[in-house]
Amino acid sequence: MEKVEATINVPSSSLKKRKKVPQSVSYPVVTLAIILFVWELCGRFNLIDPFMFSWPSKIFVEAQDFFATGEVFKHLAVSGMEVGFGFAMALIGIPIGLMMGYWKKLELAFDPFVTALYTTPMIALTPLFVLWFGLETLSKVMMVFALSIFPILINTMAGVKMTEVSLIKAARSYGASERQMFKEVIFPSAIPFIITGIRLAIGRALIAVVVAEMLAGNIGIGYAIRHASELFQTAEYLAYVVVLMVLSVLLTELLKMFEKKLAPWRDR
Amino acid sequence: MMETVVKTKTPILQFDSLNVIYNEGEPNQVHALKNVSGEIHEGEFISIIGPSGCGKSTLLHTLDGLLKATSGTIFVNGSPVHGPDGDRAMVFQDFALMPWQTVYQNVAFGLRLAGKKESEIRDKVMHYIKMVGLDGFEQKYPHQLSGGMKQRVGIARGFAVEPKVLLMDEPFSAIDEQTREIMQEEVLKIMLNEKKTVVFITHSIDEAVFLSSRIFLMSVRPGQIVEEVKIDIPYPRTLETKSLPEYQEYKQVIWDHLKGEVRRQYRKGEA
Ligand SMILES: Nc1ncnc2c1ncn2[C@@H]1O[C@H](COP(=O)(O)OP(=O)(O)O)[C@@H](O)[C@H]1O
Ligand SMILES: [Mg+2]
Repeated sequence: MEKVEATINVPSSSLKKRKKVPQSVSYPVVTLAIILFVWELCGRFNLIDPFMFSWPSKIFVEAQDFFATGEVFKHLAVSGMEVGFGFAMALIGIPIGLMMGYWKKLELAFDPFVTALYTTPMIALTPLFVLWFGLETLSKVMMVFALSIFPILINTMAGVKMTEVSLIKAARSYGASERQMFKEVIFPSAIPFIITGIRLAIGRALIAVVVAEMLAGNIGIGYAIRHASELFQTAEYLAYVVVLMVLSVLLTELLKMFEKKLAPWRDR
Repeated sequence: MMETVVKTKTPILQFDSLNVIYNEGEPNQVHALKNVSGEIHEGEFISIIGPSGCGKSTLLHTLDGLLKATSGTIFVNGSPVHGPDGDRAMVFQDFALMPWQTVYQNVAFGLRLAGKKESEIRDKVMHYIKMVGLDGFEQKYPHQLSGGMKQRVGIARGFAVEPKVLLMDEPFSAIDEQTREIMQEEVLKIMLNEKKTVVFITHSIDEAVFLSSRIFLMSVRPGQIVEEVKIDIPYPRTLETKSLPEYQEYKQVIWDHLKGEVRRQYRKGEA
């Protein structure tokens, strides 16, 4: 009787204490395995035209190849540097967002333009940026900057405005100056929002760098993808896409770890 | 000589015809306080009792300087109040602890803002954390604490800045019975030893009579102080105080008044 109840009410993970892998890892891993397996089968049974698409083992072999020759690292280094510089510049969105969230007048003056720029598909400006900043690194850095600053800025601003009124009151009651208000209340309160902004910005930064490299230049992941596709090396082309995918997952996970460090009060 | 005589007569806190109107001129206007006046002298323990929503918190926030009265004046030791300052410290009804700060950092909050030395901060913080019985919890975050423990952090934060006047908004409401009695004794002890003045909001008549030298009774909204009851029982008070006949009488007087106000509130609600 008791046993029946337990199996109904208690999630299975807590029953089996020996299981250590959390469900948030095990479930997607199984999903991925199934997808890869079915995909691979389709390839093996000639359901996929290698000219149009590819399948896991073929992509894997291709990837092994360019890892071995070091080809991929050359492109990764360049793209990484471009994203790094552009992203570092985009972090200026944090102080701007803090100020715009705090001073109503700044918000009134600039918010419509920020929103307009945020919602514009600025990727369309890539050719213009190439014209302005050249075929080399600079145009990519500027594209990364232009695409990633706005999510950071807008989320920071939202974070400031979401600060609990009772906390602001408490700080004022205990004599906080404007500077202390920022440091002790507003900035920490906005941190989770800032991190969300950065997460969104990572995705946009990768898009920016890849598209800009595809359009102009002769090095970088975007260039490598274009090059492979022009030569109809579909497997190689997809291998580069996988590298990009892994990269963005890694960056996002890194950010999550960073968030735990930066906002330890949020782990509940 | 003359001057000292004059000074001792100046109330530590004096407020005159305070009116607070929220959202004035808008459809959702609320007249929270109406012509509230009073004088509080050094070393007094004042309790404020009144029905929910009558403006008790509003009055306390106004006395702190957090809220600007729509009209009326507040003086501390004879000089007008323009905003919060170090003379008064608030213990908030909703605790208002910084979620990103540990118990230690929260208690140190006011001292840190005032730019005190690290060693001085540590001594005071540890002293008051011990007073509220939270030693061992210094490195915990508020979300790891129960409601009563959070409230005690808020109390320690108020005490730590060692203000002349402590403004406490229902500080013991979430604290269990045993701890509350200890806290009541502590607050009385500090008030007597350090000549602190306390303004204290509570819903407990027993608590108010036990702690207070005077009780302000407030009416339903718009809140007014309709009665002041002086509790003529000498300090220090102990548990025996509660069995004195006059103790019970005071409780009855206050209870009768409160019943009347609550009835009025019901009638208003029905009208
Ligand atoms: N910021 C505010 N804006 C509008 N109305 C408010 C605000 N704060 C409090 N009030 C209203 O003022 C009245 C008094 O509130 P409060 O002082 O919190 O009462 P109490 O502490 O006695 O329960 C209530 O009716 C409340 O709804
Ligand atoms: Mg209240």
